[in-house]
Amino acid sequence: MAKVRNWQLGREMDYRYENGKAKRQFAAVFNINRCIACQTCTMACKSTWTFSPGQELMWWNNVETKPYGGYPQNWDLKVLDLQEKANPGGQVWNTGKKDAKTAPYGTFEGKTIFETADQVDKMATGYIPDEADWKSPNIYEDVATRFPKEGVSLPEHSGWFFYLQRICNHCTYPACLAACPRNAVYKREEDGIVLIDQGRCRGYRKCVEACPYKKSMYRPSTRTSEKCIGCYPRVEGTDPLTDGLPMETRCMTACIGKIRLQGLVQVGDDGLWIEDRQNPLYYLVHVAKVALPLYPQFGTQPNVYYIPPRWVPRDYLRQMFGPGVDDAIAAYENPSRETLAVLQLFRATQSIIFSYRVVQGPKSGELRIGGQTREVFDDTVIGFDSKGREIVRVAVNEPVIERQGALAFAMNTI
Amino acid sequence: MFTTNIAPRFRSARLRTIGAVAAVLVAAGALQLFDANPAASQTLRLTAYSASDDPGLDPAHKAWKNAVAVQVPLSSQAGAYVSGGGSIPMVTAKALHVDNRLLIRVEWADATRDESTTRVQDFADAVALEFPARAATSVPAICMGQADAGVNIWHWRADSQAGFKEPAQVYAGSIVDMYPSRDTLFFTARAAGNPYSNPEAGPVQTLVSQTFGTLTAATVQDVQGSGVYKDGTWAVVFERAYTGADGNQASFSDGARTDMAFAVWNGSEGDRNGKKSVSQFVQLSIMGGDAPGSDGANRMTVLIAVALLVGLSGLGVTLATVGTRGGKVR
Amino acid sequence: MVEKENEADDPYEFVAVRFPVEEGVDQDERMARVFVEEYALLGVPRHRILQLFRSEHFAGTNAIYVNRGQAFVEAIIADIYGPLPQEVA
Repeated sequence: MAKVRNWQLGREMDYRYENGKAKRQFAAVFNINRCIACQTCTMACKSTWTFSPGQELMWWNNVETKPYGGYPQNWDLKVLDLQEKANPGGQVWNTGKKDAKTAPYGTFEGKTIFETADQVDKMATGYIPDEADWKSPNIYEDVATRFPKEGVSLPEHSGWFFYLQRICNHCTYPACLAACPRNAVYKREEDGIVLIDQGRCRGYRKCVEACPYKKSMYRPSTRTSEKCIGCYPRVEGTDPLTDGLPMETRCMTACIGKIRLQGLVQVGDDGLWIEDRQNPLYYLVHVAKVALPLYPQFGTQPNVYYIPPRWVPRDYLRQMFGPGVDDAIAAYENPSRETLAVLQLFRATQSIIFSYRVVQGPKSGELRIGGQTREVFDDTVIGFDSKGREIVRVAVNEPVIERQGALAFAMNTI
Repeated sequence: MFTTNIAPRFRSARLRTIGAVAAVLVAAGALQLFDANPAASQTLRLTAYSASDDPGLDPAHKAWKNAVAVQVPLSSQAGAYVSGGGSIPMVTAKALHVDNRLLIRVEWADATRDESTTRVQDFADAVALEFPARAATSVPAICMGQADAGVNIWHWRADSQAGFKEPAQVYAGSIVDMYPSRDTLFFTARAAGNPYSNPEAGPVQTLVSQTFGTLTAATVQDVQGSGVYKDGTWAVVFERAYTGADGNQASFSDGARTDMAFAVWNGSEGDRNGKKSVSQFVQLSIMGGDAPGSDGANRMTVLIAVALLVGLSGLGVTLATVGTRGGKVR
Repeated sequence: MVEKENEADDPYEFVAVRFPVEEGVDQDERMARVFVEEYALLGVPRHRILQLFRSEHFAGTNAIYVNRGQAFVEAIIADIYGPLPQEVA
């Protein structure tokens, strides 16, 4: 057992292996406020990778409705429950002392899934979901919590639901990797993508048991386990479309609602992000702090971050995204000029944006939102590729085009 | 104590030496007859005699009736990588050889016949034999070998024998619109050469290992095997030519001796990997002759027994005679 | 066609969101304001925002328009977008 640094938990923790060498880490930000569950991401992944015999129940990307849905069913409730039973009352955060770099959300004083496991038979606390749990990926889609008889009122509905879009988090400390007795799961140095070696796997399904997010999936037609591969050929830049430039994954680029931004962030060998101020993901996670990890208390240091939904009760969100929720929602609801600009980079291009620059423009107006004055500026954001060349330029204020004539009535709803 | 009870003349060094040599010769003769290795006197011995009839891969073949059965106790895997298991307490082993091929038959009781790994929660029954690899210079660590002493494993699996099933075969009501391609490329593990994923591979995998986590398929898969489940019992036969096709494998010959170990997996207990029922090392002996119960072996037994009887009687008479000659207890 | 009884505890049942009339709080005003704010943040131009209320296709906001009148809605719009240039004295 080794001691590794987990900045999301603000402390050291036990992990089976020492940190390996790392150059860049696959990371992404998903804006839950914008997702409409069109499932285009899900189908993009399915039609690219999991359309063959034995993969019928496999959804490497899935979009589930919270709170009742989940694929596999109740995955998060079951893992949270196992952890709570192993450390009753102890799974709490201490938000007293924070450090912007090493403990931005405070310190998690509970136990990770590695720390509640015996490290002999099990490397991480987990369970193998039965086949039936995988059969209904959309169960309870669009089902809200109960609306009380007396009705609901703003600003926070007591009746609510939201969509949680999930892929493999390509964790810094993957549970699947720690659980495999044959070292058939490995994490790539060049981009931190976690893969299962299909030649070495013997179908023990310890990875399926260990992954708290249940993104390692068993395939009966080969008797091995498979998982999201981070579309690594695209990330490597081997797709001819981007002419050698690293490209975002299929699920990211297919997103119609433009909720996803993926990139390759710089990480040190200790798992901490290296300061890269003009990288859009670094900005959103570490500067604006508007995007948060999913269930950081499991301890795997997941690398997909979420902008939490504004309308959901905070205690539910804090359990899911940690104590940074209130600051994240405040930063999103009243975005700074720079945050608003970076948000426009989402889905502006298929190529991975390695850095950005905001060109400030004149003030174009004022709005009163929530009783406060909000100034609107005509800024432009520019995205650059891995070589520092401009690949995209987006105006923060989307130009409004009005069609005239006979089409105007048909095409303009309002 | 010994010397006070023997006549003074017998205490001479020369006669004591003669006595000692005689005792050793008697002991050696007895060991030769019973073919026991004193160093391994605590281990079980599985002897492979020559088969009069070639039983092939049929565990029910009558050739197995004469083979000497050995009951090998099993327990959960202890030591460095404790993993649970241990639900199968015993396996019964028999061995034969014919035409320079070694055949080993294992049988164990298992109430559930687990041969499907279609569902994620299902694991299959399996049995494996472990031998030191040819290059092993010392007795390997029983758990998957060690750096200077690898092991060669013959691994039979019930699911590999039962074969892969399509969803439509398993689930009567299932509907699949279409699969865009059935090319092997999209059965990723098959395209990667994983023997466990290959429908052509057969029920037995030939493997080599040099410590935990290094288990790999041998370059040539030359072990054959077949299992039959009947009345709550699995019976599996393994067969391979004396010399393995891959240089790193155990090799056998008439008169050879080697260590071997057994492991059994019970699918309904979720057994796989280290979660299994495993034995200590057992000694495998390959005897050129026929199994006992056939005439040739019996005759030899009688001859050795008679020779021993004569020799021991002679020794006893000598001691008695020498002892009484002029003997008087001091 | 099989008739199925409404089951109050069935999570798949459609439920209506009813707004309670709290003392002293104008729920219509609050609801209209939220709509205008969100659409303003999306960049919908001021001269098109009234259509959200006038169009019968938007039943909720249209109900406010019908019950409370155009002036009521326009006052909220003016508060959020600021007065029209010609209204500034």
